[in-house]
Order: sequence, then structure tokens, then C-alpha cells
Amino acid sequence: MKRLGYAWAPLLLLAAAVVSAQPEERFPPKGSWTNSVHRFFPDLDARLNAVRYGRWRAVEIAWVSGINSRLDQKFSSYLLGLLADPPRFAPEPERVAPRFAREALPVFRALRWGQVFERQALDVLAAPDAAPRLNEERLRRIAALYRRERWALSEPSEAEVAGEAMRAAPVSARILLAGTRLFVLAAEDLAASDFGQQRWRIKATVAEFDRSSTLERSPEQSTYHLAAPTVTSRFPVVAEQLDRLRRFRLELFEALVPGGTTPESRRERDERVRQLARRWGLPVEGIGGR
Amino acid sequence: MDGSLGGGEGARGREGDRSSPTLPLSHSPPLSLAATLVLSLAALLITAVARAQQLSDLEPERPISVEDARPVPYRAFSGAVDWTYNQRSDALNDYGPGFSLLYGAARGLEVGASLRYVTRPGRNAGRGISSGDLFVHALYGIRPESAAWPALAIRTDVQFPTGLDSKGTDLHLTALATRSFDAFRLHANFRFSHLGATGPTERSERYEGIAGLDFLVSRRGLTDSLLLADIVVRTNPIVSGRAVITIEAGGRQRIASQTVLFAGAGSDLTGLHDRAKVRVRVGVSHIY
Repeated sequence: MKRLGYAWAPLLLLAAAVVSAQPEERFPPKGSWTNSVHRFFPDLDARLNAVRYGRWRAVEIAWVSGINSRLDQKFSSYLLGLLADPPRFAPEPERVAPRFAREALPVFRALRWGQVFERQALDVLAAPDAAPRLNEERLRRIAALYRRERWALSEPSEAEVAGEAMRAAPVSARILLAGTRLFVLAAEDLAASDFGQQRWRIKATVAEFDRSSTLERSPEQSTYHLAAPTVTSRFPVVAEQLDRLRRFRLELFEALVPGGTTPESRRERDERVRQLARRWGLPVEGIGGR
Repeated sequence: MDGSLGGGEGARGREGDRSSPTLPLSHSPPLSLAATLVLSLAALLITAVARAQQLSDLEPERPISVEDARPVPYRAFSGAVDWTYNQRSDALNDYGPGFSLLYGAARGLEVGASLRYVTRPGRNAGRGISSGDLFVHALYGIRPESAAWPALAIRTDVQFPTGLDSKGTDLHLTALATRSFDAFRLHANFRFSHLGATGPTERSERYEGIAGLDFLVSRRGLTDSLLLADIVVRTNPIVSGRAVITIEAGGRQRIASQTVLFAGAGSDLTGLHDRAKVRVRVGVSHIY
């Protein structure tokens, strides 16, 4: 018994953790589908990773410097460079957007948790044993786990805002929208075909993305409701949630237009992001305050 | 962590103290190469069926002593195995495997266990290096990083005397802080250790401070390769001995979505006559 004399010490921390119930999000749900896109569609996964990097980098730049034409050129060339040689693995968001992660914690976590959900949904659809009924079960499970977290997005009542950010940085916006559309089209390809056909459809979608990532499109063309009818009809809850996430991202960029270069612009930016968080049911503690 | 929590030199704090009286313990049989290989393979298999390591989640000895103030995520398992080689000043070199398992038991709380074996158990026991002590720990994230505050965490380790020449249960309490900047992160660890059983010339209470930094290597900003370095200053285990200073550097490279290869090297700049001139470690960790 004497050997166990200090065993109380870790137990004390366990008790403290249970009592305090921290808002850390959980590890992504696990299953046989985990990393299916990475394993079976590496070309697609690499491009999706480039888009993920681009999104986080865009948020970080916008948080610090705002959205304007000078940054549009700089960011779009970075993103195009990334797409030319896309990364093999997904990014660690807190390293790509460190200041945003520190200074807008609730919004950062909502985006990160949304990215986890988006990735899981594609992995489920790309699983080698995927079948409509099994997909439905799995997607229902991950959607339920997504909603259970504090950082899940809930639909705001107001309508979508105008595209100030898109006008300020048109080239970057086009590429990011094309990236979002790639996620949507990939989900549609995976949901609407069997394992044998998926390969060819994904290949065509990736080739089309490579050719047309800078073409102008309306934001609606990147929605599941418009571009992924099979996903929307079979898995409406997931499609709605992913469209919600797209809308949240657009609204966040609108809120980040002023940037944080001067105290006044920082105040304005922080207030806009707090309003956004309130509208989307997120806590506002931890936003701004630098 | 070699030299503090990992069962390496100084972990039990009895190194080099040939003159201090020791309990009449029977020496356990040396770990055979076959047994070591079996253990290594078992750990690799466990981690192979599991999946995924976040590159920035620094764990002690993976590959160097410094740790970040972030527990593994809730419901995540992480397993790691490494091989460490110590070239010592007195030429009595040693090497052996280390294993660790972590689990996110609650939000903001990591629990885990680790174990390290070294060769020359007889000689190492004579100079006080434990081989086979079981470390059980809990790491609690007090607060995440914010605009004004660094991430803060507290860690408690209990070292059970399951290894050779182990004389008592030890307690290690560590405060951790991590602050990120645009391109790099700074870490500070401060540890207090209370040893359950010591000889008359050994300190039963010891302190250790670690300052470290890590940064991403990629020019394109990819988060697949990380370099890190630290400096460790710790109390000499011998009463009236000079503080032991160690410098270390290493790298972590993502080799699969959830798997990281790590390697590091270090050297004790000051310390006892049998200090590690060069310490090299290489291993793999995996999160699922």
C-alpha cells in the first residue's frame, strides 16, 4: 500500500477535470471510414488539403490585416502555388492561423469543429464498404456528435449578408469558392456512384477543378442544395449543416474586412465578429481583447 | 525527459552516487534483446491499429524533454515507442526502448503511463539509473491560450518502483506554459520532484526547469515538419553537487495522417562523471 501512496495525485486532476468540464472539443469520431479519402483518393485529398490550408491562411491574414486588393493578390498567388503542389496532409489549424486561434477562440473552434465534420462526412462517403443505408447510419452518428459539441453552428434567423469581402478580394474569393465547390462535387460523386465508378468521377472532378479554379461563379453554385442533389436528397441533415458551415465562413470574411491594423479597425472587427458569434449561437468570451 | 521522468539518468536521482548506501536488492535479470524486440513490436502493433498524431502535441521524450501545455484531445489514444542511446563520459554506455500510452480521459485532461528500459541494468542500478519504473501521469489543461494568456497546464506523475534498484514511490509535479507567436512557440516547464526513498548523500527534493521552442520548417507554411530545441537545468541529485545543464534539439516529421516520426539528440553540459555526452533518440508516435 505504501507504494501507492502518491496515487491520489493524478486522481485529483481527474476529479478537477470532471468538475470543471472544459469546452475543449473531442477527438474526431472514429470508424473504419477514417481517412478514406486520404487512402483511396489521394489526388482529391491533396487538393482538399490545399483548400483547407488556404481557408485558414485567409482567415489569419484577414484577422490581422483585413481584406483588400493588395492582400488579394498576395493571398491568391500563395493559394495558387499551394494548389500547384498540393500538400499530402491536412493542416494543423492553430499553427496556420495562430493569432486568430488566440484572439477569436470561439469562432476558431467553430471553424475547426466544422472542418472535422466536413472531413468525416467525405470519409464516410468514400469508405470502401459504403452503401446507402450504412452511409446514412454513419452520417447520422457523426452529425449527432457534431451537434452535441458547444461549437456546433446553429442557424441564425437573419438572411445572408452582402458580399463586401468578395468585392474587396475577388480573386481569392473565387479560388476559395471553387475549393468549397470541390468539396461539394466530391461528396456528390462519392454519394451518387459505387466504389468502381467513384474513381472515374472523382478524377474528372479533380481535373475540372484544376482547369477552372479561378473562374467566376456565384456563391450559390458552391452549395450542396444546388450542386449536390443526391447528397441533399439522401442526407438532408448533413447537406444543411455543411451549407450552414459555408455560409458561416462567408459571413466571417465579411466581418473581417476591417482587419486589425489600427486600434479603431480592431475594435470594429472585434465587434463585428462578436455579433457574428452571437447570431450563430457561439459564446463571445475570448474574442478580441488584445 | 531523460533525466527526469523517463527513467533515464537522474530520473531516480541516484546517478553516480557510488558511495551512498543502497538497499540490498536482488538484481532483476537483464532484458534480453529478444524480449526488447517483442516489446517494441507489440507497441508498434498497438499503435498501428490505432491512428494519428498532431505534430504540435509535444510529449516528454518525443523526442526531447520539453512538453507543451496541451493535453491530448478528449477520447484520443496516443501511443509511442522510441529507442534511446546514451554515450557516457565514463564509456559505460547504455541503450534501450521507451514506451508510452496517453488517453484523453476528459475534456482538458490527459492520463497516461510510460516505461523505459535500459541495458546494463546491473551497472545502471549501481549508479542509480532505474530501468523499468512505471510512470503514471495526469495532465490537466488549466486554460487554453488566449490573447492575453499563454496556455497553462499542470501535470502530476507518480513513479512506481517497479524497476531495478527502485526504493520508493516518487512524485513529480510540473507546471507548463506555452505561448504561440506567428512562426514559433515558446514553452516553459517547471518541475518539483519528491523522492520516496533516498540515501544520505542524495537530495530527496529536486527541481527542474526547461525552456524550449518549436517552429515549423516548411517555407510554404505546411504543418508536417517541426524542429524543436530546449535547455534543461536541474538540481544535482547529489547534495552539494552542481546543477546539471542539458541542451537538446530534435525534429518531428509527419509520415502518415496520424503518425509522427521523431528524432532528437542532447548532451549534458555539466553534471556527474558518468553524464551523457551524447544522447540520441528516435521513435514513432501515433494518435487514434
